[in-house]
Amino acid sequence: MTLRSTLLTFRIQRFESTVVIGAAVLSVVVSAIVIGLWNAGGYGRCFTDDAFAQTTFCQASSGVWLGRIAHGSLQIVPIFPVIAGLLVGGPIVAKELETGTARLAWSLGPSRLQWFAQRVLPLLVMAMLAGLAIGFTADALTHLLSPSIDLDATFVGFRARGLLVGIETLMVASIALALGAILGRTVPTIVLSLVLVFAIGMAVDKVERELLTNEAVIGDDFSFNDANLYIDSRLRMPDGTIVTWDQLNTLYPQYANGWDETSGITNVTLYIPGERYHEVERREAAALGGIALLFVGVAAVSVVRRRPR
Amino acid sequence: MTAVLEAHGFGKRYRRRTWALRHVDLTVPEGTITALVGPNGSGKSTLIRSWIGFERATEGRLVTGGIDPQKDRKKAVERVGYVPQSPSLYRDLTIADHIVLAETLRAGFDGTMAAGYVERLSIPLRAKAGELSGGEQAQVGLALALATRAQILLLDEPLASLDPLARREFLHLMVEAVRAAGATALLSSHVITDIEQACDRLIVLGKGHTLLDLSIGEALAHHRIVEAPGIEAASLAGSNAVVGSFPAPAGEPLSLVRVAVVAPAGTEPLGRPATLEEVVIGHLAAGRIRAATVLAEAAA
Repeated sequence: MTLRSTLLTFRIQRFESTVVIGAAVLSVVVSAIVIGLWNAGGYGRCFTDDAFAQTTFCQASSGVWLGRIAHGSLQIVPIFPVIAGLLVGGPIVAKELETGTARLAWSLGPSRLQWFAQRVLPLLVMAMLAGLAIGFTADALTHLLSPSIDLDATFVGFRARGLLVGIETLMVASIALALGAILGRTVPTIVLSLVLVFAIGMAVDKVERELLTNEAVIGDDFSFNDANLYIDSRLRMPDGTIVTWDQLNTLYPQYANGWDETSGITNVTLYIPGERYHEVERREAAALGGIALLFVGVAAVSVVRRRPR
Repeated sequence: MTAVLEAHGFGKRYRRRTWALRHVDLTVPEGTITALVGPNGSGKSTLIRSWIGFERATEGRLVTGGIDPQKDRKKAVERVGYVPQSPSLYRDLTIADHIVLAETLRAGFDGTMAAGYVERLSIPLRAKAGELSGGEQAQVGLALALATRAQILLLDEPLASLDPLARREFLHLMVEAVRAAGATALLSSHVITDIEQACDRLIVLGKGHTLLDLSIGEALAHHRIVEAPGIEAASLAGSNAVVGSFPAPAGEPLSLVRVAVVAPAGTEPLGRPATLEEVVIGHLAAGRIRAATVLAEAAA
């Protein structure tokens, strides 16, 4: 893979590259301006000092608008990986098969894997870097709006900021890439990829919940705060056993219709402490990265085996 | 003469039902420009795509420059320059970009040669592929295939969508380059006049079968036209000599008969010399009857 082949790859997918890079650059630039104006105006104090927050300074339109832009930018972050991933990954092979250019390329280049690497790697790296830019910008905006939060020790904005945004973008792009290589049609690829991305997302979430449930800290309702990752609500029985609400009905039918304070049953919360944020983030990134690699492999095998139109 | 393209009992079936080709045995000798002619659906494209490894044989085997494309597609592709019916260039890339792309994909691709061919055809290197006419795109496709410097050139009906002048330019470039390189070309086409000018060998493919495989000279020397229906021609030349019957453009019945190159002593040659188009049409007509018979037998 050379610089020339990389540049050609971006030119072949000029529209998709422009949209994704443009969105990332726009997000970073707008966020930088918002952060700059915010800090220059001293609006951060509005969020740390309750009395100051009521002043006309904090209620003034410029501060409110900067806050709205920052909030708006953060709300877009969770959908960026899906849109950018589908846009970049879907057409890479599917469009080539659809328009017949794969036939030209595969007849010119003896190694389909070399072609695959030339076409796929620059775009996947671009999508991931765009996602990372958006993710780290979201980190900065979260810090802006919640200056008292230690971002390294909180699950606030989990999966919608930092490293995971980039990895999610890579995973979505890889799934769309693989489906595109199998289906060979761009539009069905994007539609089916969307369905598969949500299915995989839900599966990953379920597996992760199971894992985290086993690792969760059990605290009383009052020990939980926003920095922690809420997992589930349980009940502590008088004998110290922790049960779910369903288990309560089965194991302790006498409490099926309720209980009073003298029963000794207390509500408890299962949560992952905020201090474990980076550990959980890295583990999820590794899982999503693994899924992405798996789908890139599926796409490569499909490209090697399939016949061009 | 060494064969560079071979098919031995080759068959290709799609979706476990339809046979595109079956029991095909043919060879393309080294250093020839061979025409592959057949009706639509006769499997010409399937055969060509199989030689470059784009299709897998259902039965039999193929050889491309000494390589089995199913076992080692990479090496087979290395030996072949391929021009499909539709060149399918990248619409938003310039012709110069296509040359760069080919250089990055194929070791030994001669970018200077490709640019030279393209400029000779008065196609601007800076033009985007999407801005070119169908003929120009086909010529760019040919220039790219030639610049691979492959010793085998497979052309899958590249002339189909070209106007007469573009066809002539395309063939001129192809013949000149192939002859200069001492390469071998297989040209699939329906346009018989072009074949006669450009090719030195003719293979006629029926519904999955080889109907004729001769040099152009032999094909012309071994066939004559009797201006009469098949039964009448059979009474004159013998039933085994009649290849097939078909109507002339004006409607009168014609029969293609197989003859010895030199007429037996004391006899006048039968009928009149056949044109190459009549040779091809006569064999295609025979192939159609044969295919119908096979189908009827299968149904029975």
